[in-house]
Amino acid sequence: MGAATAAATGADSGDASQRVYARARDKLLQVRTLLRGQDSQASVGSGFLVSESGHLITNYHVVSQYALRPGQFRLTYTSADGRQGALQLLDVDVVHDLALLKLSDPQPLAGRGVLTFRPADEPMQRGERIHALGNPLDVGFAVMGGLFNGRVERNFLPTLFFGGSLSPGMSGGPALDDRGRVIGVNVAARRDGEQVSFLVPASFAEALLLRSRLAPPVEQPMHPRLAKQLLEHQDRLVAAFVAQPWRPAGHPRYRIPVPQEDFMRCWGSSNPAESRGLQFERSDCAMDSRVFVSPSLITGHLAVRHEAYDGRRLGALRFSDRYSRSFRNEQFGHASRQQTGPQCHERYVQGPGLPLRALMCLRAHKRLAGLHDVSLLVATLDGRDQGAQGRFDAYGVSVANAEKLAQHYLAGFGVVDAGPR
Amino acid sequence: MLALLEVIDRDGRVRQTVPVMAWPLRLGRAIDNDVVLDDPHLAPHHAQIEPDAQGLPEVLALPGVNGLQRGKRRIPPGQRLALAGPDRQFVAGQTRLRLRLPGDTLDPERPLGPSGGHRATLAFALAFWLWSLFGQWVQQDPGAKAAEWLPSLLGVPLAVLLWTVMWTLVSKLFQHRLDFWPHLGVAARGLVVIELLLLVLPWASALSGWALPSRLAGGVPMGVGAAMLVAHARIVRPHLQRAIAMVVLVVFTLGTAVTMALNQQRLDRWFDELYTSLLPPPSLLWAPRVSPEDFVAGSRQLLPRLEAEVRQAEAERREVGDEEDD
Repeated sequence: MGAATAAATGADSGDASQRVYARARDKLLQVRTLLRGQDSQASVGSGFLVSESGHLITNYHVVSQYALRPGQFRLTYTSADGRQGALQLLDVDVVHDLALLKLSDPQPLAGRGVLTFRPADEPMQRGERIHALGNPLDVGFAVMGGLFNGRVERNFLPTLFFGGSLSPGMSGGPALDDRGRVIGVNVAARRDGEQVSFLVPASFAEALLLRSRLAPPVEQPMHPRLAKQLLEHQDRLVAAFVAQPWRPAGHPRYRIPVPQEDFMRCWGSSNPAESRGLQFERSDCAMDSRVFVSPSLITGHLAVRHEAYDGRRLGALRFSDRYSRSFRNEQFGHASRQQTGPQCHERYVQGPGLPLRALMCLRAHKRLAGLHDVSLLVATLDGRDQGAQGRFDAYGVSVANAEKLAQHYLAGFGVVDAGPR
Repeated sequence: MLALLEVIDRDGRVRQTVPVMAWPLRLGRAIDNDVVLDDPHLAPHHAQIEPDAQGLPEVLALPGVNGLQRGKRRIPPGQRLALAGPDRQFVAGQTRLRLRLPGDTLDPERPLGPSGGHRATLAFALAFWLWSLFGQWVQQDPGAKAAEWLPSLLGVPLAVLLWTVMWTLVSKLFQHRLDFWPHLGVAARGLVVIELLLLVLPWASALSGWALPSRLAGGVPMGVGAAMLVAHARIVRPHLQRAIAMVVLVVFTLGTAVTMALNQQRLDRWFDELYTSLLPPPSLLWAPRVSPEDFVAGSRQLLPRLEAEVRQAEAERREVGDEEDD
């Protein structure tokens, strides 16, 4: 009986996928970024038609090379029935990894209809079927079935959890409900799990279409536009972050800043208790939501880390040596073509009831005007054989927000039951 | 004895001395000369030394091909050269000759070995060894196995010994003597100075809050190493000490300049070290402290530098006409 039900469900699912694919097939495109002057492809993804006048949606990361270097690349599409043509880039939403494109000549695909978005007042239920479409690994158009599993938890940027498989090449393709309406855009998958994939909620794609459907085609590098979007994003992120109080680190002596886990994920570790040397406990918090700008620039996120050291088994002299070495063992990046090298400011700081050594390093983005990476390294200095060191990193923030975050982070250090908080 | 003529070898040592009992003094390859020299670049009768009208010695280049040379000055056959000044050296063919006269001022007597003798050298070597052992003790966790002591216990003395023996052999090659203790003296003193500076400079920064001493510590091994090289070379080739010192100084200066220029280009700073990492214990926390607000506000001093770099990158991109370079 159970097996029969399962078989029936499997058959239903197969029928639904078949139906959904058949309806969507004409609106499905492969989006390719080609080197101008030759036909070799630099990246391949998927996309789908969303307007009768030839607008289509894909991921920003599928067309990022064109967005950053329009003089060196060109965009083309291939439809499921083998038609090909040129594409224009109209706008991007770099934060949500979306791009709005348009067929240079809508005529060959005229009359195919469009994929519609599922209305916001019909929210998806956990367990509902999803059909992700695209061209995985450039091997051919495909439909991948899976289940809706709600929003990804602890993500700053709203992201949908798709319990199904996504492969490279499907990026930018539509994820549809059983009625063939777009609920999200294929964006990423975790390789360390099974069938853990992610979709950008369709509302962002719909907003991008509404906002920029009449925009002129992009012909210049989009850095100013990306910088503007990233600056808006970091304003929202920093405001949300500093509005949260720090969590207690559970240390008997020190107050050490540990972030809430609303949009960060923290992992802890420590050395074996029987170790003869320095005892430490470590906490590592990072955001899963990050903004892809180019393969070598992922930005728009925060990270907080600390280590609490106990050197009572070592004695003051040896502890002092280990403690300084740990403080030295930090990297702040090198100058690259995208960013300056770090410029640092170091001082002894009197925190609330606690002397600190503090280092603040800034790197400026060379093309994304106004954006900086800031790192703070802090060590407590009141203990002969114990102490805590923390590091805070913010990627892609304004100078004003870098200062705000630095103040917020430093205020998180103190002595338990001493000083205001 | 009127004078003494010395034949000097290429190491600067006297190979042959000829007492001059009467003027003129003739030298050349022929056996009827007063000084017979075995040098194929000499004429049978090559030169003649005698006092001039004032009684000061001069040398006459006799007919031949090569003549004489003093410093960079060539004296062709038939011309005379006054042997004035404190150092009466000249070259005939490929043979270096020096004429000494009664009453010449002599260099002061050189002491044997380094000042302070072997005891001081041993004290320095021992100090370095004990410091290495202390360093090893600090780095080890309590209850370390005996084998973990081996690198400092044996490795360090062995490395110093090998270094010294290498220089001793170089001395043997040039000076025909071993000079073990002078070389050990240089090595032990140099290593102690390096360790001392590597200790003092970072602590100077940690105690004062002034970053520069700690930044300079990175150049200590190279700087003191260069001085050690000069000191070793001075034992090996004493008469070339000025030239060797100049060469090492030039190489060190150039090396330092190139390293700093590369740091500037690669890391946007002159020194390797990005920040002071030595953290003082509470009892030595003497440097002034600022409030968190002032610390954060102080970071604004970094902005002009960052903005200048961004502008420079922008200018370079315009120059190359590069659209994007990610």
